[in-house]
Amino acid sequence: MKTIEKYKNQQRMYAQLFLIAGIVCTGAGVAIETTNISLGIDPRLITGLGILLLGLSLSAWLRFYSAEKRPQTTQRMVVAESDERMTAIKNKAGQRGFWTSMAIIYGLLMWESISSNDSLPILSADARWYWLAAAVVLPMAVYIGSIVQGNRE
Amino acid sequence: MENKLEEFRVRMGLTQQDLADRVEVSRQTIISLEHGRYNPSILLAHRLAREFGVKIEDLFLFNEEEKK
Repeated sequence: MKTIEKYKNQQRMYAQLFLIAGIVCTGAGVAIETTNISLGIDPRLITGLGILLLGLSLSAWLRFYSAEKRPQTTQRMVVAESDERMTAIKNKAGQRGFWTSMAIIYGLLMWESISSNDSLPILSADARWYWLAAAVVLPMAVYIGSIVQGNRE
Repeated sequence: MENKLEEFRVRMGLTQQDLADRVEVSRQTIISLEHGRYNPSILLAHRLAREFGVKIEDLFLFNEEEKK
């Protein structure tokens, strides 16, 4: 049960780190908001980041307590995460996602380059935004799809 | 790659989950190994062979033609 002890210690450490960082960030955000010090950014962004960190801390605590209550299930979950077959599937999926992303970004770069001398129509800001959104969404879809396919094989 | 994993596992009275727990992999990996759909790393092959008390070559049957 070495793996599970390591996992529990790791989760406890993350929970404590995120808790401290979350308290500091939220406190700083609230303090800046109440004292009206101008930082050039909205102080609610700092408070928001603090709340996000507190949420991450809570999730790490929950994982820690779940590991305490159900050690065997957690052990299997930890083993499944580092399982060599799963790692190989994820690597393959990552590679496919990477090449998909490269192809889309390269396509945009080429379009922008060629359209600068009027050989292609210039893309509107909206079209460029959709193209970039596709560069985020499609590789992710390819990655998830490859993992599903790899698990079925 | 062909292997005798299922044969050795059944002989020892282990379930796929028992074996997975012993060698610290997922049950899906044991299933894939038994069906010959996945070739293990040398480390996992060694752990499995040690678990059954046999040599790697007794457990995994390497066929020279397979790679060609």
